[in-house]
Amino acid sequence: MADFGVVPETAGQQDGPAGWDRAGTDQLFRLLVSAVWDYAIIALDARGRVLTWNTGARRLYGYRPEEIVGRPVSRLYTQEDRDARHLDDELRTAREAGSFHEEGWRVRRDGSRFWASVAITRIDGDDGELLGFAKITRDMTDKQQAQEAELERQRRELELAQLREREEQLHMLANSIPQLAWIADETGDIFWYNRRWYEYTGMTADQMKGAGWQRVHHPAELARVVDGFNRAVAAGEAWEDTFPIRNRTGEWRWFLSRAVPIRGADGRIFRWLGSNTDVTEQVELARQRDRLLKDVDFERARFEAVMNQMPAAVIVGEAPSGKLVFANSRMDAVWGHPLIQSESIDDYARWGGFHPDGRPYAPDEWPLARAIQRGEIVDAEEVAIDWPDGQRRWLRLSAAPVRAADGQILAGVVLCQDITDEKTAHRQLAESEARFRALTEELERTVAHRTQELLAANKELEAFSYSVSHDLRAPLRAIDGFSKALAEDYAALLPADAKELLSDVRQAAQRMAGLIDDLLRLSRVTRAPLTRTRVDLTRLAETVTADLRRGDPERDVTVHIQAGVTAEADEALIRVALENLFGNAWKFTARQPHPEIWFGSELVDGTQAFFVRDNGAGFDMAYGDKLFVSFQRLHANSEFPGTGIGLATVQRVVRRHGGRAWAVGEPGRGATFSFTLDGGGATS
Amino acid sequence: MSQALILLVEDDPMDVKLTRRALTKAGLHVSLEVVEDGEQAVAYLLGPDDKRGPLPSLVLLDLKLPKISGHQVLERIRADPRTRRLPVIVLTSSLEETDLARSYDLGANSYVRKPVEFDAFVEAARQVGAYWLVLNQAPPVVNGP
Repeated sequence: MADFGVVPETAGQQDGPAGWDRAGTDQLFRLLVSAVWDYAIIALDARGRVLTWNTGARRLYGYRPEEIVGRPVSRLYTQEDRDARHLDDELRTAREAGSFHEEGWRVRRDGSRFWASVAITRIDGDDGELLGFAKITRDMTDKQQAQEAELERQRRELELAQLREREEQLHMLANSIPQLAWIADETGDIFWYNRRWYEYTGMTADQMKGAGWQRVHHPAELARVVDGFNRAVAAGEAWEDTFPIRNRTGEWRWFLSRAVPIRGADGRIFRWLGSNTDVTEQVELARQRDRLLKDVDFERARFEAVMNQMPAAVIVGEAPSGKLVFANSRMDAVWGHPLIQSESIDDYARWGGFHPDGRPYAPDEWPLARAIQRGEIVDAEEVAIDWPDGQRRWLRLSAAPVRAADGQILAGVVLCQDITDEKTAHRQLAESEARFRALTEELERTVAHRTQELLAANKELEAFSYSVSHDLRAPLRAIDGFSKALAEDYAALLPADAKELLSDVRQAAQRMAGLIDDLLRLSRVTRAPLTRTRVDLTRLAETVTADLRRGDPERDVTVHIQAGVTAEADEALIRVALENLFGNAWKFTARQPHPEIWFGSELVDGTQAFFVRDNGAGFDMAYGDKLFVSFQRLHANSEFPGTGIGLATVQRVVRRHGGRAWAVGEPGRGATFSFTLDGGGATS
Repeated sequence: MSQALILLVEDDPMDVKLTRRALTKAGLHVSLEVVEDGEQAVAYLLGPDDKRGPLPSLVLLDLKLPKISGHQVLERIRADPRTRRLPVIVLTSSLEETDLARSYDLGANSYVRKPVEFDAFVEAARQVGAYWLVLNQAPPVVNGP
């Protein structure tokens, strides 16, 4: 008994003593129940506490009767069932329906679980009141395990089928993409490549076996790529790298390669799906972009270097906002303050400029704004600004738009030069110019006035000449004529000395007439207009000589005239000069036993000069300066008659031609009179 | 043949006296009519029929005259059909080119400058008289309208 549990005393006492039969039957039943090995048969009271505990219960649950009798049967339940008050549900169902059946987990004394088949039956007393429950439990563990093994087998089969399906899906997917693709097992060994891979690499499946893929990898990149991939596989993380892969023609192209882990239903990685995307163009573009960026950086550096070297301030504004994006280092020096950050053209109002008439600049009036908004090219606009220290400065602003190839305005540039000093200088210059102009005008007025006076004087001179020629000659003619008449009509009455006196009167009158004629000729030489032509001086000299011979046929003078002498001169005037010079030579050789006269041209100080030379009386060079002055004579009239006007006339003629006249001589040894006709291009 | 008539237009009485003497000395037997200014010369030559003088064979005309100048007188002479062909000798002291040119432009037949020396004056008078009164064929007389 003791080995197989006990029948609780209370149960025996409660039933009370009975007869043998009854007692025998009850005893038998009790022994039967106690001896049942395979089933735990437990009596519960109405509240679920254990009343009896048979051998099967002890075997199944591991509790001895004294450890469990009197305690709630819920101790045999799992914690989850206890929390859910599962027992109450069971008892309620049994109470109401008469019985309850289930299979479920129960807990042994040592805490282990077993799968149990449970039946709970309501036990009523003779008069129908509820006495408690009979609970019969059987260990179903063996049966459960067989079922679970079967389920597991079915599940594995399903999983394998799914895996095969997924594998095929992967292959289909991998073959349907334009990229190179491959599949590796969970250790990272690649065992499958898609069609694009073989097309691209030109390799066969055999060549790809094992680490065959390394054949198409660049040796320089291989170690890095392998290492990266291995680490990704070990960590179970997606992998990405970019490296060159050789194509069938031997060309290396760049690929972006990625691999992602494929997980099974159990969450474990069982495949790696890899792809290689041709990014050669992108890589090239990136390289080009890098090169361009480098170029741009260089250009920008150079641009800024140039900008900062400029003597003018340069400011660049973006179109269409007008936001200022650049100012060179001259900015501060020209404006007297740093760049005023401006986000829009409206902000230009803060730059404070004034038109020359003092009107402030509206924001959109600034040359930069006009260049940005209207594409206007502004050339040298003068703007006044006030420096922070209060001084007014003048700037010259020139602006232009910066356009894209399609003509769209991208930005505007404005150059600012400080022209304050320039303006000051300009104003001073203007003032001195005004003074100069006033002086010039004054001078011109004076000159005009003098010219008027000279013209008037010239007119007076002409009137005077006219009067001289008429009015002075008329009385002389009377003196001469009446002296002659007196001498003729009263010849008988006049003594010889009276007649001689009358002759003197007539000679004086005639000399005065000659003097007047010479003066008139001198006046004409001065007033006559100058007309240059090529004059044959040789022929002119011959004509003059012939006139002299005709007027004085007794004289025997040898005249040497150089052939082919010409000059650019006024023929009438040059003739007057030659007449005077030859006349002088003729006259002053009168006392020479063998008189000779030479005419020709020679170079004097690089200029063509003409000369009339004689071997006559000559003159003292000490008085040379008097030779060419009117009325100055170096010889007594009794010695050589003359008016003293001839050489003055020659001088006038030569000067009117832009030349000069001079004389060289020595008393008793002849004289040479020379002259040039500058500006006439004299030749000989 | 009656004495040729010469009209002398000259305001200087001394020149008139000298000219008369020079013509005489030159041996020219002429009748000399003298007027003292341009106005008189125009009146004598171009005045109304009852006021004007007989048409001379030759006019000796000074340029510098009171009232109407010698050039203006010459212009009037040449403008009138009756005196258009009348020989007119400009006899003057001037050697100005403008005077010379203007005289010929207005139709003077000769231009003679009066020499200061009387002998030369006589010679000039003789030559002028010999040429214009003897040698030269006088133009046909134009009858009045």
